[in-house]
Amino acid sequence: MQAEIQINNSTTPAARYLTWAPSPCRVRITNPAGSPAVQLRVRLGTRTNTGGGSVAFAAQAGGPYASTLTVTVPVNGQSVSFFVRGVFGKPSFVDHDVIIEARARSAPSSGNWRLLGTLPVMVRIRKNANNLTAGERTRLVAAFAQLNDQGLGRFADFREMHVNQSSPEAHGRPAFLPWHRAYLLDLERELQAVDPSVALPYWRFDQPAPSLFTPDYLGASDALGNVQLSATNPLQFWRTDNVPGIVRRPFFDPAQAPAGLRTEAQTLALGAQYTGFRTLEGNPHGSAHTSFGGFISSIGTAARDPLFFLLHCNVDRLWAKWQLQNNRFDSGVAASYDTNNPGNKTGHNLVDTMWPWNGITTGDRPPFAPGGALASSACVSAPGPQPRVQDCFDYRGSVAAVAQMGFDYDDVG
Amino acid sequence: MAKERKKATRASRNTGGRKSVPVGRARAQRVIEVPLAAPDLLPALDILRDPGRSVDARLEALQTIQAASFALLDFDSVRPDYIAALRQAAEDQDPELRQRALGILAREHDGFAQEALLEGLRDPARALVGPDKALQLLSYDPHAGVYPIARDIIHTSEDESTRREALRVLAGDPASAAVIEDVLADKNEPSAIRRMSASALHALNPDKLQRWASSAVLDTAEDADLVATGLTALTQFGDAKAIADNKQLRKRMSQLQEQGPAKIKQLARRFVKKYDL
Amino acid sequence: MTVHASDPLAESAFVQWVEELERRRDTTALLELLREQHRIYEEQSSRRIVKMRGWILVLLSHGELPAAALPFVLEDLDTSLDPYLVGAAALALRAYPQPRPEFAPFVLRALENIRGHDQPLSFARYGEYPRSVDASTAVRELLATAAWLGHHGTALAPRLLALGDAGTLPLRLRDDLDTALRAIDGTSRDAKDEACCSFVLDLARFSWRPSERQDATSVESTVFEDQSGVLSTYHDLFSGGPTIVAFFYTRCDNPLKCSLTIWKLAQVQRLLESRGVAGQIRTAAITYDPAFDLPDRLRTFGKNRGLRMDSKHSLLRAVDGIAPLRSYFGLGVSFAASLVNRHRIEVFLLDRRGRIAGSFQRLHWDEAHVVDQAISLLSDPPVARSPGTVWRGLPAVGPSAAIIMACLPKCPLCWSAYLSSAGLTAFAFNAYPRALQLVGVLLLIHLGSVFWRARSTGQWLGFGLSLVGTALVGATIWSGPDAQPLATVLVSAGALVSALGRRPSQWFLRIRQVIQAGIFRRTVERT
Repeated sequence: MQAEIQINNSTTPAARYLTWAPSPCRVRITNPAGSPAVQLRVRLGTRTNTGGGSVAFAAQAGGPYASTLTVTVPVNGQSVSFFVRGVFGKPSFVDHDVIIEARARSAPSSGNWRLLGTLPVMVRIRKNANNLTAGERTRLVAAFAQLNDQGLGRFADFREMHVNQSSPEAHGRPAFLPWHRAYLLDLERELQAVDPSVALPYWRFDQPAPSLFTPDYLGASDALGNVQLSATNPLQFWRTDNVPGIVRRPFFDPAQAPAGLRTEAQTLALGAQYTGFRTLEGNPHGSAHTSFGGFISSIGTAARDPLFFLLHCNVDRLWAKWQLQNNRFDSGVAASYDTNNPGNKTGHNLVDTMWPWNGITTGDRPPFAPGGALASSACVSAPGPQPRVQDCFDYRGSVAAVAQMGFDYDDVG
Repeated sequence: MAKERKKATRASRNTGGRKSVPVGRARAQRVIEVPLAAPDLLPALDILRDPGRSVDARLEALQTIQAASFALLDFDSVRPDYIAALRQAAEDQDPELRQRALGILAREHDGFAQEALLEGLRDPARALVGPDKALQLLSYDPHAGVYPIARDIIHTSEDESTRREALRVLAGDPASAAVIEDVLADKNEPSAIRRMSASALHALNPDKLQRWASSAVLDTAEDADLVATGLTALTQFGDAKAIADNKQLRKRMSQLQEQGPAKIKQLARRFVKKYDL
Repeated sequence: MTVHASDPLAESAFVQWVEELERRRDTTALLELLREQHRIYEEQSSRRIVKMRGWILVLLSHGELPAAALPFVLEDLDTSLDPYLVGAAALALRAYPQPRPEFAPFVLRALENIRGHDQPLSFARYGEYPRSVDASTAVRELLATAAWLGHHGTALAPRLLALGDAGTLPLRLRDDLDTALRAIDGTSRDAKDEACCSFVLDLARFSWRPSERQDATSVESTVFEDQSGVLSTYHDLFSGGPTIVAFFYTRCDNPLKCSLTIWKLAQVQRLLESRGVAGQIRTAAITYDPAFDLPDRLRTFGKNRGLRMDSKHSLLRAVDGIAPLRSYFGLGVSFAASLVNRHRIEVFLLDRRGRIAGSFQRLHWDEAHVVDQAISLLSDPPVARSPGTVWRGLPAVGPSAAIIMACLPKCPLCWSAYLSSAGLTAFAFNAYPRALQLVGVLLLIHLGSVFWRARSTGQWLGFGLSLVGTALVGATIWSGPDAQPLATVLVSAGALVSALGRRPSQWFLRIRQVIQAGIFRRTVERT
């Protein structure tokens, strides 16, 4: 007897990645030989490496979730649906460190649960960059380096999306947060195309992050602001705008946090209305950028530094936390967005598609649109190749399961 | 203006960024508010422009305005004033203020900043920042006209930091490929210089860099850092077929997996795994 | 003033020169200095060129701006991101005798382009960088130009109103904005524009009569490498059908120029596809920066802009440098060493023989218009058979005749050598010297063939060798056989070189390709 398990309703390995949100799954019997009946009671469970990720199962998306689930599966090959999600607080550390198993009794009264099939999965979560394991860090920087490919890789598109000329699409206006959420997701999916075990981590800029600014990771800056990388760090071949290296001069002790920034608590206290909350764009976001000299401290050059993406990942995490705290996943709720701002430029209204993914280069949009459509995912279908502003709110599928965007944060449950 | 610049440089010549990383400066623990509208930045601009205010206050004002540039819809309404203030600050007495102002202007490809930096490289008496910092800032714009000076510096300067920055700049100059290759091959050069050369050569002639990387790995007398750099280059950007056909290299990788420093062994294993050898 | 290519012009000398031209009101000479390829720009940094060109525009604004200056002025409004140039262009435009509605879109575009880039400016002295808040700015100059346009600037009104509403205008420019809006609304519309509808700013150039097109012989053997590392000559790439060729380079610092050009070329490709002519009309983009823009870089640049790249659509670098192309195309580009320091937008249409049939320069070109013009080239008459092709058989005759002639014994000893094994020495002595007449006929046929071939290919080396060799053969009849071997070698060599003829570079190419394939292995496709 053999069974096939599908995660995210797909057989492709690229779909075997989970978050805290429920993922639709299926199990079916592919080889009924030796089956004692026309239907089997199949028990779904896991085998996990010590310290690895943990998942839970449920028959319905809404739960209840448990560490095992028993479903009745016909032996005729018909699929039976179920849901699986990562257990909050227990993300994976390496790819496929969680093995989902499907077992069935070899005989109705037997106590022996025979293994029908397995499927390795990963609970892939965005984590605090300072707390990544050595292996996670190595894979992250290697993926970044390969995406950059000495300046010739796909990374060039992400660099060109964030320039002075395109700034009105992304800054100073309500869609600052949704635009950057889509931007980060696009980059993350491209990193995952290089190494599917990679999730974009966040730089928690209101806390010390001593392990982040080291030669084996994102580099330690010398007095001149040149980022020093170890000889084994693939980022040593990082190149943007045809110049090698990264310039980043901290105006603070990297063993400490930058001064003058709003803390997380202060940021979340900016108000329950989006109009108030989005002032985080100045502080802590702008202040975090300008805690350094170098690439990251000007809009036109910020995306040349990989740290920029970790900085924005934290900004997005703050938004995610604020959304959870205030139940702001529904873009249709007025307080979730600055909907009624009459000055909203095209690209900042909820129903507007966002540049550059919409490919529009006329009107008041920039005359170029690097990167093409937003990268797709084998795990989820949202937010789509040409996301609208409103498609970037319900990232966990809280309002509509189909809106899930395939990422989660380690401390936003 | 020329007199003022001479005063500024005499006061703090060549201290550029070296002594002025403000790790030791007392920084405010309070939240530095970033105004929500550009007109509210005018007081900060006044502080920035006022040489009578403390340097810390002026630096804080600078950071506030720069943070606001990321966030304010109407920042363009103060941008010309900001640029004017930055040009003033670029010639200030305080080296940190000068360096920060020049950094922001250089990233905007401001002509005033570029000319001041080039002038400082030609005539150290007029330098507003050290030569290494000047080269670094000029590297933001390949059209700034710095290549000829950078080429001279490779041959004439003895300062490692300055030469390294010159190499970084020259990564965009095909005419310098031969010089860069020579520096890379020269085992008397410091490791950091050679590694920067490797990076620069990678930009100008990736095939040559790959050939160097192979030879560095095969060279039992090569510096471990350079071997590591070569291994990284081969692993990240190597030609799979060329590597598969290179029996000598494959044999060497088997040796390196077992011997040498830990980082070399680790890289060798990564290499072997990547190319499925 | 003479400028030598190796000596970059000192700024003080430049200023003195142009200010003298301005004093003499020599606008023609000043305009000449705005051509990008002018030697005054060689070896200068881009920053200095901005100052130089901006200052020329400022000086032109002191008098009446001639119509010939408009392309330069409008170009800077259309595509420049440098506030000094934009400001100077806005200033210069106001010196044109009469405002026109055609100028409004350029002012509008400049207002959009300069967003996020504005700076304090001064036009009082060359090269000033104001540190004062009282200086002018590019936006201030554009507002002044909007006011000058008056009712011709009606198209600007919505943008100006939005500028006021958005709060992105400095407070002290409010008066300038109000002035512009009042001028747009308030200027009398009673005055008739003289020749209002005859003004056409047309920067497209066409040579519709094939006979008027400049022959491409000078560049035919230029060797290119494409984004996949494949080597081809100009003739290979651009003969047989029309081609749309753009010039660019990957390090261009103005996204409204080269980057946008390639985006637009990708759009051209889509239009060609939709009109069913993608197989008949080629597209190509040639880099100004061949030393830096190696194939990997070209490929990434094109790919990131959605460009289709294959045998008919390619990104190219001239492997031996861009000089011949610069001359043939009259490229508007200048360099500091190999780095471009200034260039204009330029797109060319080539006919079936690779000759320039049209060009679009300076201002943004319309993709559909370019495609239309390229399609019209499809109805060019087919390539006429060149005189050499009439004598298609002769190229074979030439070498053959030469070889036969070379092998044919021309003296008793030769005859003996050939016939001695058959013991036909007597015959040999009998045959000679009547065989000389046959030799003479063959030589003449050979010379004739080589001559026609030389005329059709323009390669005269083969004919020269054969002629000298023939002359030597003639001389040996009277002076003796000593020079026979040399004569034979020369005639044979002449025949072989002539047979290689039209494209010696192709032989060179093949050899190079073989060597490169053997020694260098490139990873052409990394993704």
